Amino acid sequence: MVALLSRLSPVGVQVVLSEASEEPLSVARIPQDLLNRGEHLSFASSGGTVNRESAFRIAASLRNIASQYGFPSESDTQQRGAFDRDASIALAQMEELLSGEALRDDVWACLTTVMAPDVVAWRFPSPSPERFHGGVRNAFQRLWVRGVTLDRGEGNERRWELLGCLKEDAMVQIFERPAIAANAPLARAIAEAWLLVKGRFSKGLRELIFRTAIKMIRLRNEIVDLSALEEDGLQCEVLRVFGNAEEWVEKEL
Amino acid sequence: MRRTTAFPFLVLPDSLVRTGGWMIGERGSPLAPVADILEGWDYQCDLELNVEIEVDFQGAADALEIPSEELRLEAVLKVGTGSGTMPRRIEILDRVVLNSGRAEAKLEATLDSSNLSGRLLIECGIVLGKPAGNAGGISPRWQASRLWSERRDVLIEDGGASRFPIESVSFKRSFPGAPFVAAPWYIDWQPGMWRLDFGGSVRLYVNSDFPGVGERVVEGDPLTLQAILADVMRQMISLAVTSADCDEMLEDLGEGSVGHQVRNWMDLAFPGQSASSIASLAEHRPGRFSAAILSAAEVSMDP
Repeated sequence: MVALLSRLSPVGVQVVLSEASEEPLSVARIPQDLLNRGEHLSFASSGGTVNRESAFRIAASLRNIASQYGFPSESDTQQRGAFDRDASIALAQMEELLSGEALRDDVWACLTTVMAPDVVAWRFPSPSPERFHGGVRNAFQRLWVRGVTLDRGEGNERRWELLGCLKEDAMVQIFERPAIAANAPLARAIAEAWLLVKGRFSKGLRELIFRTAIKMIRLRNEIVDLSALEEDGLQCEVLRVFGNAEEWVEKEL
Repeated sequence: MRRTTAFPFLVLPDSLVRTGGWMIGERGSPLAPVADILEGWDYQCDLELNVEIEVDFQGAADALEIPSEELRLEAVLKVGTGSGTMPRRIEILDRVVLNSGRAEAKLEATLDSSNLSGRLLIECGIVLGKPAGNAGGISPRWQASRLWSERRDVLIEDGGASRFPIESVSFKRSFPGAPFVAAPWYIDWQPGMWRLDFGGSVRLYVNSDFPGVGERVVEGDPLTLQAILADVMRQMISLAVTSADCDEMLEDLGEGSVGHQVRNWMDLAFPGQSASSIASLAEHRPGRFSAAILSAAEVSMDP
């Protein structure tokens, strides 16, 4: 049975943010009136069981992970990166998020804006509204997508290795490109290939080579349906593109 | 096929590919042609879909400048789900090899609805199954080269006709100690939430401890549904008409909202009457008031 999670409309996000704009966001500052009235909040009309506690449990779990890296005190880049990795792993395995509910922007808007805005404000000091609205930049939604996409599967000894091999810029290159992000085997193949080849590039060139490769993959995918390739063929294709990207960068420099 | 991409190789013109209709429906039920909106979907309603495809194979070989005996095509059925211009998740759910001996196929899939969200983007595509040795100069040469595609976008939530939200639960477990623990049903809603989406704000709990009620709801027993619907209508109309500015308030609410639904019910049960006259009827002739609503509830269930 699908756990139906609370949803917050885009207008609801705006209302909360506008009412909480003066000071750093915290759970205490979220207008309780909004929650009490239920205004802008809803659940799916049918098809599962409404569980009002689920969202609180998810938020508590995220808060607990954040506290391991300095929350609520200030954090450094390394701590925030570690939070991202651990939170991605946790979110990807949460039973409540193993359904179509997790594909909904309004579900994530509720989690970030109502349930754990304090964690968002800790992870992104002075966060922009897009960290609260549902979508690819939502503070937690982005982590969930990374987790479920880069998961090598239960039983794999290095199940979450891919989460650690990609820097933030590389994650953004993959997961903010809808055609790539929607194709989990392709996104995973890119991460797997990068893990294999990044060692042969100098650190100063890695970001440029990765960005170039992603552009090439996106263009290739326009004319060749990469999702239609078998796993081995897809891996070869992505590796070939990284080779081309390396050549191109070396030539340009 | 969408022509937003300038392909650097020959592709299939639409005239060479025939699709025999896109069909979709609840698993185990007769399928219907795919429409822009799929009514009645929820996470528990698994779906089946199929599309028949037929290629003029000799025509395709000529168009791609590949000898027909060497031409290998592959038909793929992809399904995407999740909101946005591009679905959040896209998967290939069926694929069939096409060659000179088999130029037609039925692509089909069963969809686990618990993994769906908001919409379905269904795409039927033809790609190059295998590079040919004797292809022309501008023939497709890469495996999985995109040669043709057609798609349908189907809304499954957030805009389809609202359904009455129903949940079957044990009242003894879910509402222990509540005074309504032995009631056959309970309608959960909060007064004053007139602006909210009806489907997301009003929920009918059917008591699974109460023998037979859940079954009657599922089977669509007319009297049971009439009694339940009348109960919802009575609760909401009774409260709405006591608001000082009821008529103005309900007029101002958009389609799909609780208030809009209440307004429709008031018009159905008490045509032409103002909120104040309905309130007066409820106060002075409660029997007639209730019977009018019961009657309207029966009308509401007519197809």
